[in-house]
Formats: sequence, C-alpha cells, structure tokens
Amino acid sequence: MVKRSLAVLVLGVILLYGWGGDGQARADQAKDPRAQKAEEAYQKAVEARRALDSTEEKLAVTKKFLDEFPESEHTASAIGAVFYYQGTDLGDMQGAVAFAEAIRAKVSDPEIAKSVDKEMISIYGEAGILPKMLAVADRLSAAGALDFGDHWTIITSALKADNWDLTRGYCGKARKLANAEVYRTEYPDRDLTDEDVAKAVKNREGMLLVSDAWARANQGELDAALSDFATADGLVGRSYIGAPEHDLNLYWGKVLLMKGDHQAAAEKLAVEGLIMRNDEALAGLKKAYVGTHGNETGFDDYTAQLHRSIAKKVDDFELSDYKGERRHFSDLRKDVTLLCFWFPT
Amino acid sequence: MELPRLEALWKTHGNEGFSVVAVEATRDRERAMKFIGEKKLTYHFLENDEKNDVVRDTFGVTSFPTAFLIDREGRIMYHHVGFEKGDEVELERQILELSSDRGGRK
Repeated sequence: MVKRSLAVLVLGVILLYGWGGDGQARADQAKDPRAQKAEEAYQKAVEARRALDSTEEKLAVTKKFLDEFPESEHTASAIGAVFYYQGTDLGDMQGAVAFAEAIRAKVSDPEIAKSVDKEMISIYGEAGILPKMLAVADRLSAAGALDFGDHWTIITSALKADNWDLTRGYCGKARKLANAEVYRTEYPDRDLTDEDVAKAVKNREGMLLVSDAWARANQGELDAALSDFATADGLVGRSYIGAPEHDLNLYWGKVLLMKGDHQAAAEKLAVEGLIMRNDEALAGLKKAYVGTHGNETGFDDYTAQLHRSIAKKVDDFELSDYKGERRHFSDLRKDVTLLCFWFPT
Repeated sequence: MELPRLEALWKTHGNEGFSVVAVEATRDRERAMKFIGEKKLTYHFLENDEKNDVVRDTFGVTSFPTAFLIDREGRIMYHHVGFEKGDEVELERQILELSSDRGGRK
C-alpha cells in the first residue's frame, strides 16, 4: 500500500503524517500545462531552498515562486514558508502578513482559495491579528470547511492572546468534531484501525478539555478546572519522557499554584520546567519552592537533584548506518550525547 | 535544531566526550545522503527501520526535529522540539552543564 506522506511546517516544527510512503506520487498526476509548470517551479524552489543556508535566501526563493505562480496547489504551503522565514525567523510579522494577503488576493480558484484561507487563519493567529483570523474562519465555516485543525489553530491563538471567551467558544465548537466519524472523513488517505481512531478521538477530547479548563481557571473557576485536568489526564497522549501532551501539566501546575498547593504544583511542573526547559514552568517551580521554603535559598541544589530523579533512562536500540552496518545506540554514546530525529525536507 | 547547526557544536565539543547521533525517520535514503554530503555533516547517522519503526514506536516522535540530550548515566536531561534561531545557544549551555556535571552533585 502506498501511504501519502504530508509534511506540515508549523512554527518551526515539522509534523509528518503517514510516512513510509512515496512523497513524489502526487507529481505524477495529470495536470494542465500551467499547473505542470507551477509544479516544476515549486520542486525547483524546494530543491534550491534545501541547498541554501541563510533564511534571507530561502525567503527570496520562496517569494519568487509565489510571484511567478501565485495560484497553484502549493500556494498555501509556500505562503506558510514565507511566514515562517520572514515573520517567525526574521521577526517581520507585518511584512509577512502583507505579502500573504497580496498573494491571497490573486487567488480565485475555490479549492486553492480554501487551502490558502486555512493557512491565513494560522498566519493571522500567530501574528495576533484575531479579528481578521475570525473573519476568515467565519467565511470557511459558512462553507462547511472549518475542520478540527483549523479550530485548534484558533484555540491556540486565543489562548496566546489570553482571550478566554474565544478559547471556550471554539472549544465548544471543536467538541462537535471530536468523534470517530469526523476523524475518518478528515484523513481519508490514512490506513486507520479502530484503535488508532479511538486513541486520536480521546486525544482530541483531552486537548479541548485542557484548553477549556485553563480558560475556565482564568475566569475564576479553579476547582472545576482542576477536576477537568484530572479527566484530561486520562485522555491525552504522553511523550516518551512521560509528559502529557498539550501542556496539560503546565496549566495544571499553574492552577495548583493559584490554589496555593505548592507541593502538587511542583510535581506537575518538574518535567516541563527542567527537562523541556519551559520558562513558565521553571518560574512556576521556583514559585512553588518559595511557597514551601519561604525563600529561594537552596533552589539550585533542589532542582539539580529533582532534575536527575525525574529524567527518564533512554532505551537502547539498533539501527543501520549508511554503510549498511548495524549499530547499537549504546556503542555510540559518550559522556554527553545528543540524539536527534529528522527527515530531509 | 537544524542539522547543519549541530555540526558546529559537534566540531567544538566532539573531543570532550560529546557525540551526536541523528536518526532519519522516513527512510528517504537518497535525499538523506545527498543532504549529509552537501552539508558535509560528520557525526553519526542512522536510518529508521522498515519493520522496527524505532522513531515512532519506541520514541513516539511525530514532530521534527526532536532532540534528546542524554547524560553519562543514560538519563534524558533535555528534550527539545523544533528549530528556531538561538536554540543552539540553550543547547550548548545544556551540553556544557552536563559535561561539567560528573554524575553526582556538582
């Protein structure tokens, strides 16, 4: 079976779906000559970007492609890349948004417009321009095209802007999409077992509950929020190092701090603060320590010890190198080892 | 963390008991080898298995790049997802801290 691989660039993280397949397959589809040309130009731009090191040059190559082919099936992802290079990496959010809007204005094909609008939701959200983000969302929603991922993009933008009503409103809307039927419709190309779907739906329910509970806590409903966090704990997935996904423990710890439960807060914040080096979690950990000990004396020794005690031991594994030789990870380790996972984009 | 930026860290700290192991998740051998060659990367590269999907099944990694910094005892002391400018500064700080930390108390 050929699985389609789809890489999505979000805030400097690439999420990869259905890998193990043939990423080139889409290029073989029959197309009109203009689309064929756009496809070739896009592949060339991606190839050129790969060879370049500087963000400015990568940006220029991507913009050149969009100027030449503003309307193609790659418009949305190219706009996303421009926003990442110019906005996130180089810090020119305004310029990046203006460029994206200019390209969007040139798109008339309804399917391409839809995919670009989805990208615009995340661009506006990331740039903190919520009224424009919501206007696009309303337009997509009226066309029945606002999927769970779009809802989630809006929720994370609302959370970042401390907009609790908006957060809760979209959590409510998204909950209607947290079911097996919708999930299967959203990923028609993926080879999903019932077990996969059930797990994904549980995770969706959990992530909405986490966000809604954090908004709730900020509206003063601390106890209700704590009870929701406990429920979400049984729903969301866990990373390899043992942290529940979607910042559950960060929010949970912060609400426990609001309640003055310093001991419990420290337990929740330890992995996020010390292993994932989340600044908010680390600050919360310090607050919890001061709450228990009265002052900051001994905090560094406390965290040094805590850090070692919560750190997960890495599993050994065996894989081949590019000479075809089997290697044990344990043989490659030194006093300090960086293990990273990547794929060529 | 972008792989070419790791080359500099590896060049600087490679003699001080520091190693880098990069696992390519998608078994895209052609592109991977081209990239490694073009960027002249010299640390350890491994390839994910078809039958034994270490990246997803063992480490549950679905966002890239993801990096784990591991100490002498095999403990994962630092976990990082994504790549943004300046990430390598924090990473180098963590490497130095772990290198000076000889297992017990400082």
